Amino acid sequence: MSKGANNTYFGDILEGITSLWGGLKITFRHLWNARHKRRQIGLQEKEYFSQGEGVFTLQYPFESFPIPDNGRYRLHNEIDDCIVCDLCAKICPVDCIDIDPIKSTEEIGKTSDGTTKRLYAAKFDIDMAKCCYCGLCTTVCPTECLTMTKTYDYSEFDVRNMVYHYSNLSPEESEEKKKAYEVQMAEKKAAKAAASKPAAPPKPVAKPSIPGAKKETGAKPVIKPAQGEKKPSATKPVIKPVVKPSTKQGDEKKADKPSAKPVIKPVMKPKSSEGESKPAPKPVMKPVMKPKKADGENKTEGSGKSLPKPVMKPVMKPKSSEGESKPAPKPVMKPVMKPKKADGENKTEGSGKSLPKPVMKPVMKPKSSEGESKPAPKPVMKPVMKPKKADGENKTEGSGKSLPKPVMKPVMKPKSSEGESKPAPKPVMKPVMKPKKEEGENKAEGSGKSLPKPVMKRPEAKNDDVSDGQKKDTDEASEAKKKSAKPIMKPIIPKKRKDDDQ
Amino acid sequence: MLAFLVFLPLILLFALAAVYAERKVSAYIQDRYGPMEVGYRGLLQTVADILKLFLKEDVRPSGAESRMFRMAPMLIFASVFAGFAVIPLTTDILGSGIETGVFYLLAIVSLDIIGLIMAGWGSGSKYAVLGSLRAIAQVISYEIPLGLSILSAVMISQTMNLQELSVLQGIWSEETTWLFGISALGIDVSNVGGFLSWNIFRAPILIPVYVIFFIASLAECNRAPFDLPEAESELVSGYHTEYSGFRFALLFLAEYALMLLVAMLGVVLFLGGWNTVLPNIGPLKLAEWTSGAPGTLAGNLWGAFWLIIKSLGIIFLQMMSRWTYPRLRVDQLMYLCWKVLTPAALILLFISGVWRLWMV
Ligand code: SF4
Ligand code: SF4
Repeated sequence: MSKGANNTYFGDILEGITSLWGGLKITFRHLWNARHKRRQIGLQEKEYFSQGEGVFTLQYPFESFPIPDNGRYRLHNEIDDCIVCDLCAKICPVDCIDIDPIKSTEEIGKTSDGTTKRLYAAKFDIDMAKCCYCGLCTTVCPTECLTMTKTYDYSEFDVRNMVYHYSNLSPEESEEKKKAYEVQMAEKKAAKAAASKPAAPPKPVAKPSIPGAKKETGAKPVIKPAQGEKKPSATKPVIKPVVKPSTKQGDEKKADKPSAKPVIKPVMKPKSSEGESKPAPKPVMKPVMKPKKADGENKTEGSGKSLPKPVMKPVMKPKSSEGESKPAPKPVMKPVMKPKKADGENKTEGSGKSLPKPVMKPVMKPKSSEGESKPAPKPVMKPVMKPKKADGENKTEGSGKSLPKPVMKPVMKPKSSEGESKPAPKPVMKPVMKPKKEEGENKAEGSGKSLPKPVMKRPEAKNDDVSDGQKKDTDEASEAKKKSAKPIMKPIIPKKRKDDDQ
Repeated sequence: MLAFLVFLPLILLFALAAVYAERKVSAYIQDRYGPMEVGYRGLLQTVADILKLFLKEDVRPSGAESRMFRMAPMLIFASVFAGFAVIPLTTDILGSGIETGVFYLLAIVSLDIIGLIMAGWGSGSKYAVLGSLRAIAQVISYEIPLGLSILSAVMISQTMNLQELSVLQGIWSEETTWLFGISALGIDVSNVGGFLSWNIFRAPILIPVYVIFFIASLAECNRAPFDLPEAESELVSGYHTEYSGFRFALLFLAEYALMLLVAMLGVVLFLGGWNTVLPNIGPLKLAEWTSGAPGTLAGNLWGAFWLIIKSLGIIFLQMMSRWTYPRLRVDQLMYLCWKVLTPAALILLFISGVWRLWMV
């Protein structure tokens, strides 16, 4: 009997009968073996691939497949070990981690691996519905408190329940912490001001600047700060309802502490606004140099210190004033700008050509440094500071006008440092490089071009480049968002840029 | 009347059970569970399905021939159900003991094809038309080997009365039954009964005939691997593509009723009808213990039991072949019918006649 296409008539019939019989035997064997089912063993078992017989079906809700202990599914954050460094939120490709930190007035304690905790997490939310289980956040976590667990079935009827709340602070507690920190900051500022600033001509300027600062932050925080400052109690109740659902969720899912989050947000904003607005008195700062130095020190300190902040505030105000003035025709810009520019360019060129431009850049730089890596920037910070000082000097030289202006720049930097200075580990960060680049570019640009606008754009571009350069920050967009949200300075800049572009 | 009252619920129950069984058999063949949720291990699944079908809207396509479309399911089911009229469930439960029962059955089952054409053509759907055209080609072709194989059994038994056919294959037969039908052996098994008195053992030549009958009957009721008229992968669902709700349930019911009908016909013609499987072995009168005298309640119950059990066994085979074999192409279908089954059936018919003449 031959097989295949060249078969004979009877060969065909015979082959048909044998193959039909063979097929029946196979199906009968499976039918017979369906009396028992295959053992549900994990993938790690050796027999996993050698079980050929029996019912294969896993009746999922009633039975489940054994998951290896190192399964990487739902995230879990051991909040007690979390230093709120924000690294996980930064690296997350889908931005599903939302952290709202509160600075502590003192060292909170140690994590289990000995790292010092200096920040409270008013909010630590992970949106599991967005999470793509890439695991990046667990690899960057310096204290290894963020881990992936073997729990994989946690679907919800309401997608909002997929947001897991890990913060262990209640809204009231976080409010309390914020206030404590604000009080401390105010005290420090007052002490600094008293010690370092005999003459306070800039002060009046500072006050006007406060509203300006609020405006600057306006995009995001404007509303919130106002609420937080004016009516903390009123806002809270509103928040609570939100919180309750979250707690339920937390209970169901074994997630930790959902309550604090909503409350925290409002509080935070007010703080930022307050923190920024408070500095207003700072303007008293006489010596431009001093604030800068303070900034530099703050930077080095990294995160826990609030000293630099006061400096920040003064700067802000001038900026705000500047920012407000900027929209106006260019001529106006120049006067203001010049001192600034002088600062920026003084470093490299020392000439008074593009005074307005340099001002822009300084602002930008701080942002970039802030957004990217605070710790490392310390060295960078200093250089920046110097230029500022130089600016101040230049100003005196070139124009002799704007002593307060130099103050502006320093302020910028501190802000950035404040807003983002939390993560201690960053120091290694490339940021140092960036500032240099920016400076170098600014210099070149500044020298070649005297128009304020172009300068503005370039700084921005530079910032972007810097962020790109930093591999740690995967999401430029996220950084941009963060930057804009936190530092008052940033909002101003974007506006200018837009105007310029237009 | 009694037969009507017995067969109608029997068919309905059978359809429910068979759909469930079909799903379970296919599931186990494929290493899965099948329905598991409705009732214990999914036992009520088909009940739920039927309830759903009854509650569904009776959708009628605007392009359909309304009257044909509406009548077709009823015609199909009526013709299939009429076939049960001559099936002797027991010695007493029998719709009609007409002498030409086999002819009647062949004719009435062929009427089924009229219903298929009405359903397919009346639907106004190309899939339904294609399905019904295939059904016609297939059923008409397979009528021939089917008829020839039935004719062989009729020739051996010398009767077309299905009740007589049944009686002949048991211990109550008045004819002498020789072992394997060979009188030369001189072994009289008339009083042994059991499977030894079945037609396929009274005349072993009927074994290949029964194989042909089985294959042809599969094609007759459009079962896989001869389900070209319904070929889901090609025609959506063939001639009943456009049906929904109760009419679809009726078509489905007719399909499973036809399965049962051809299985019962095969049992009556070849496998002893309502006679027991177990033979008398010396003092162990197994055949008599499991038969009951004709006309008594025990006789009726045993008869119905054996006929249904055997039919279910055949239906199980139908299901196995459905879930084992792939669907034939149209040309393969015709090749099998005209070049293999028909010649073989003709030859076997000839041999059967010779057997009847010389062996008995
Ligand atoms: S696993 Fe990936 S996607 Fe999920 S939270 Fe962590 S970084 Fe974001
Ligand atoms: S990376 Fe780790 S320590 Fe840092 S905020 Fe995230 S979970 Fe906390």
